[in-house]
Amino acid sequence: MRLLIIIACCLASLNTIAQKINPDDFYGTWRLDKYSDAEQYYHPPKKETGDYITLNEDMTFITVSEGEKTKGTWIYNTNGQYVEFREEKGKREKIFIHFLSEISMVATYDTDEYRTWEVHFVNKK
Amino acid sequence: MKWSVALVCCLISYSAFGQELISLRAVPFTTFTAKNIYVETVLDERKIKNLGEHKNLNDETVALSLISGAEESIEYFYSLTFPQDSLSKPIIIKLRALNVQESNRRMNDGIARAARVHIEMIFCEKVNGELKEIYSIKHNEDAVFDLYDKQNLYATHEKRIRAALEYCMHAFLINYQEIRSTISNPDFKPYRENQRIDTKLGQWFNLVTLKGMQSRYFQGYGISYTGFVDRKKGLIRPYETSLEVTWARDDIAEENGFNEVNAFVFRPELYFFYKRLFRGVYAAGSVNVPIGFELLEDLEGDNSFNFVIGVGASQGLRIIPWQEKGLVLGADVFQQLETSKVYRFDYGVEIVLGMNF
Repeated sequence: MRLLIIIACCLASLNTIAQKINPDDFYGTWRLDKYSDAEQYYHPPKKETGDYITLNEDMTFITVSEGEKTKGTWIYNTNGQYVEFREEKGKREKIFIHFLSEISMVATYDTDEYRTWEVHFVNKK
Repeated sequence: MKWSVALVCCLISYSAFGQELISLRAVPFTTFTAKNIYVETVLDERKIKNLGEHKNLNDETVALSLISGAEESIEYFYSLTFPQDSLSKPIIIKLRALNVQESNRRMNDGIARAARVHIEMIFCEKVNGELKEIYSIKHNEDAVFDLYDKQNLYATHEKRIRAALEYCMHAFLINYQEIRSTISNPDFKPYRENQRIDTKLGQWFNLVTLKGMQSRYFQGYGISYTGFVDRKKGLIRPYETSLEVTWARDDIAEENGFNEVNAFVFRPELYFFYKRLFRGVYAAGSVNVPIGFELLEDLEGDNSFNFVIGVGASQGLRIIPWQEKGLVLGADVFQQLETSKVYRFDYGVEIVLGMNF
């Protein structure tokens, strides 16, 4: 619970100093780099090494999560500061974007299991 | 005295009709499609024109509303991204729902506070002077906060309204025939083809159920209250409390040297879950601690008292065909270990019948 409060505070403070996100920076292949919480960074578990998200300019995406490949349509919501993935099967997933540059993206998944973690991706152009 | 009563009534009605106005920040958004439309008019078709009543940060109940009404606010918000020009196609939007909600819900091992903006819009164009509905969408814009982070939750209702408006527009543009050709294979389907969405945040079920129990040693009845927030995926963690009245079967009582054995048992849960199998059908499982007492009458007619405590488990099904209100049916098998005078380990079945409201 204490951790949740700290993270909520961090997220709130991130929100107040929100950087302006340039949607062009989204395009490309984002490899899972690490996780973090309020205290430290963590390497992804072995089964997640090699996970990535490819965001294409035609709004299609490909993700590989624990080796499993998914395709669909993605969209960035400027006002909500999140990316929504709509899979071909109809399943939706949402990640809140805290930071985005050409080479780095920090996000939080909108699912309880991962809500307290920040996920760091890198884009090696 | 009369005057003071009247004054108090006035104050109460004043606070009951207190209003807080929300002004949408002017944030244009990025579209990934062509932008050759503009929103000509928004028609607010909601029965209730505000966004709902909420407790503000001073704990006063206020009705939240958009500052210049929903129609004007939304038209202005969209005009920032889609300025009107002679080549753009006018779009008319019917606003069927727009409200703000808050609710508690379980999150992992604790309880979190959830906020939602629920919106329903129908996008129309004018054909020969008549409105033609071309796309409809229902959407929830949800966010989860720490249970005590009321300030951040309250301050961000405005942001979620903007995000919801933006979401609906993206979904419309992707599906709009005149510009959809720019996107390959969109997966944002109109809601009619899509799954149902819950219009209320954390649909909370209240169940009051009666159960008939039959076990190896006992039979009896119970009454339970169960409260839970429905969810399609994952385990639902309900709250349940129940009271049972049971009695040992005649032959079992006699074998143990009693005329009658009656037991009164509460059953607080250690771990309890529902899992939604289909709409209205749930698997249920629990680990619980039966705690109560037995009243025993021996063969000589003397009464005695026995404190019982133990550990129990159950597995079963609940069927809730009507979501709003209606009948609840269920069945369980159960096992328990107890400090009873007539058994240590018992197992049996129970049939559940009740109401949800």
